[in-house]
Amino acid sequence: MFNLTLQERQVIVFLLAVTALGAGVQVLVKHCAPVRSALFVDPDFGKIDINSADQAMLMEISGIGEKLARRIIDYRCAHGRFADPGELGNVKGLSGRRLEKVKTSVVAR
Amino acid sequence: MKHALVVLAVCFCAGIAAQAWLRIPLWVTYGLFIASIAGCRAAMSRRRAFAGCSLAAVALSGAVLLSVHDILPADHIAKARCYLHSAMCVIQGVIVREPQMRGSRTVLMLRVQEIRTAHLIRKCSGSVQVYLTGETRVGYGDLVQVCGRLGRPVFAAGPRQQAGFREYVRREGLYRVLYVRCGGRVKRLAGFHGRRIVLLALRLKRRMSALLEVRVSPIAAGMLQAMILGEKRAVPASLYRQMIKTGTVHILVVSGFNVGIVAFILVLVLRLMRIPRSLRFGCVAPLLVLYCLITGASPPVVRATIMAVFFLFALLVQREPDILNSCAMAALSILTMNPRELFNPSFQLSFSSVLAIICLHPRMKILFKADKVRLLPCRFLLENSLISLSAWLGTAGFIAYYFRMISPVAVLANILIPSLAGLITVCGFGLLAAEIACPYLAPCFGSVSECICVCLLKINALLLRIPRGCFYLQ
Repeated sequence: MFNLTLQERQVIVFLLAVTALGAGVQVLVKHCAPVRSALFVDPDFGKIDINSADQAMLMEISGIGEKLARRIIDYRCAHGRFADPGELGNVKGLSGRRLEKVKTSVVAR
Repeated sequence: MKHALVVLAVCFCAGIAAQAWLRIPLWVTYGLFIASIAGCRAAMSRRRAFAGCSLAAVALSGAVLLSVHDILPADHIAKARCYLHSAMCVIQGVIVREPQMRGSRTVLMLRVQEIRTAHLIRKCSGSVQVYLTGETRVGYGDLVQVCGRLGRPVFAAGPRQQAGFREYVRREGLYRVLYVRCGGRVKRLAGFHGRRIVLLALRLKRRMSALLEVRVSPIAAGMLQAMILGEKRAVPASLYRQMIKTGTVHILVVSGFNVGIVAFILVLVLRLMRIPRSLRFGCVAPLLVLYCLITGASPPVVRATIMAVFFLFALLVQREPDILNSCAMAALSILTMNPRELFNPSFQLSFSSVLAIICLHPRMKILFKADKVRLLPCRFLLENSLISLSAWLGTAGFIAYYFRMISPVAVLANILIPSLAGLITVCGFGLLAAEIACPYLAPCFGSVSECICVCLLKINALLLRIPRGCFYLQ
């Protein structure tokens, strides 16, 4: 048929394999809901949990320095767990644009 | 000499570096440049003397080009000090880049044509970055009038970062910024003043981004957009930080690898369409340039595109392609356009990794006797490890200097993660192609891309747990 090199034939086989694998994943996802969480990226992946993070972890978030990290931990100790990231607005020094920025990097589990 | 272009590129870079550090006056370097050309003319019949003079001329040309690049024209906006900190001014100019949203602000890049204050109107040149509160409905190539307060770019950080920022300002020519308080102060004037090909590239990029967002989850879509379209805005900052720590952040940019995949796919498709060899190579080169524009023409992509075009040209004229010479040609082309790119970390990392792979990998293969490994998966793994180790050795110095970080886990991470990233990139291109040619197949490619993204992120998170895998320098 086509005068294809070995490399090109490998590409075609790869594309067919991807199609087959993709179709298999689709079937799995449709028939078995728990598989979905294992095969799809969690929207909160990589976000820092404000209810368990220590000072060093909090300082990794852009917009949070040493003092603010300390205040977040103090607030957590005084008022208990954060119900949602928006509650960070109650911490002194976190409001407005900075709060919006920090909220995108954290999650309250 | 087999690698003449490499020698020329090294001399050219040396000239630029020497001029940046020594800051010799232009009239001195220019005089020496003319003298070296005269020397070349005089030494035409003597081989060694001619070689010496011509290499000196190439080095001096680098120094002269850097000095010329740094001279601002008389009407440049950076020279108009009187406008600084004045109450308000109106700048008329053309938008030369796609507007970007950064938080609640829109950032525009304007090529200035005219500046107006309450007292005078003056023709101006140069570029201005406009920070605009809120959104605006202008786009690439629009001629606009913006009213705001003009100032110098400010970057509040330590002296080390300040020096880097100053270099960035000089490289990009961004000596002034305009702060605009509300979107209503941007007025669009008639006509399109950009390049049609860039507009086409931007439209294609938007369309492709939208297609990727439909088929996969937001994080996977962000990764695919970064890997295929060079658009990193949708990659979460936390994920980006994690990848910096494992030394695998390079997979989130478009690099030579991606250009190679695009070239390969295009050649394959045209081959299947039975298009003759010469026409095939002739078609692929412009399409690669279009892809380079789609991805924002960053130094690694420009390098890879130039190398690929030279490679295709060599195949077309039936000459043996030489990877070192094409790499040198790419460096010369980029530096001739903007000599300050030599100090761009992106340029340095891109070329150092490629050169390290070209030079170190064959030697390592001999050292570790990779060809003698019979079992195919083991050989594949060993070869991948050696490529990763070569690239790591080539870039470790620059990474330690720029990021103040040494990441031994990067060697291990770069054995596993780039292979997965390669698969994601291929599946991403497959997804885009399927959306155009056969939309029924697109969900299959989307699912596979998503699964591989999950694998990659989990491996990366696992590697981060290795003790002393990454440490910061003081």
